[in-house]
Amino acid sequence: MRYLFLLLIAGYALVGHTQTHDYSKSRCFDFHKQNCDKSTNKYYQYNSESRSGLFHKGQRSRTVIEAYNGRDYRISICHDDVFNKPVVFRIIDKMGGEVLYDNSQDNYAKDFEFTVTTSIELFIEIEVQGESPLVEKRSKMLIRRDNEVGCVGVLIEYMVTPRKGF
Amino acid sequence: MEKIIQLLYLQWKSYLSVLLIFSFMPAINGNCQTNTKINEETFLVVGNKVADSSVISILKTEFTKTGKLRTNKPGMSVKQFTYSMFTLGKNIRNTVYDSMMPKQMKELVHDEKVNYRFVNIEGVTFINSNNETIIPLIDTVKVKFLYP
Repeated sequence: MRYLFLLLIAGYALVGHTQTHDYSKSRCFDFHKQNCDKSTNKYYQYNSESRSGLFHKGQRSRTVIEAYNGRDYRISICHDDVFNKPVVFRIIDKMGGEVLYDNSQDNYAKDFEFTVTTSIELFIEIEVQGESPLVEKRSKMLIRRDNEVGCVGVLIEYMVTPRKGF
Repeated sequence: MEKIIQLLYLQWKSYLSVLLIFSFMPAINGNCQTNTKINEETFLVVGNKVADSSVISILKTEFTKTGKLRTNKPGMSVKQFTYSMFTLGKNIRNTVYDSMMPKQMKELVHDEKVNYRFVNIEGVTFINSNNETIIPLIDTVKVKFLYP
């Protein structure tokens, strides 16, 4: 019985140890929910396609969102302070690959609102500017967590576009 | 010998011209600076809202009601501004050398099909009664449109 008890304690300790070192999940989990600025418009609802992820400088990654006709969407981004340059986000048409919005042309805005008139599948592309730590090809390469890796969150909100008149 | 004298003469001339340019540079620079001032007390007025922060929210009808951009100080008006509007697949950027909102801008704001959700007003400069150009402390404002 005593051994079983000790074994259980050891097991819990081991689980705790592995969890604290599961860097991507523990640190960036729900980062967007806690850090991205929500809309002040009460009609906006949280979209479950919102994402958070661990990025290093120079990394680019995409996530898909299906935008439906007759809805307003608000996409906002947030990130850790380790990235000294503004994070770029683009909205790309999944079918044609056309860049429909690029925040680098919009003063690196951290949020973007738009109305969708026809349903469309979109990529949201995040690009963390800076020199990638993976560029240097060394046999023993280290990526410094403190100043080269951080969380990026993409918060997606939506609402039915209000109609005017009756 | 003549060639050497000629060369020396040319060198002396070039030195003199460089000297002259450098001596006039502070004067030219100073002249430019006196015409442009940074003002911390004057703000842009959009509709009837004073843009005292970089993001403001306003109704579309209120935005175009006056048909022009104003300042909160009498005797001062908007000299120049750039507006940009973004939606999926469409972006517009134009510079206006006047305080009046151009027809295209007003039409775009009220375009119900595209339904632009904001307009950026950038690089705003004012002009006072002494014909001096003034740069406001907040020269870029994001105007978000509220639903009625």
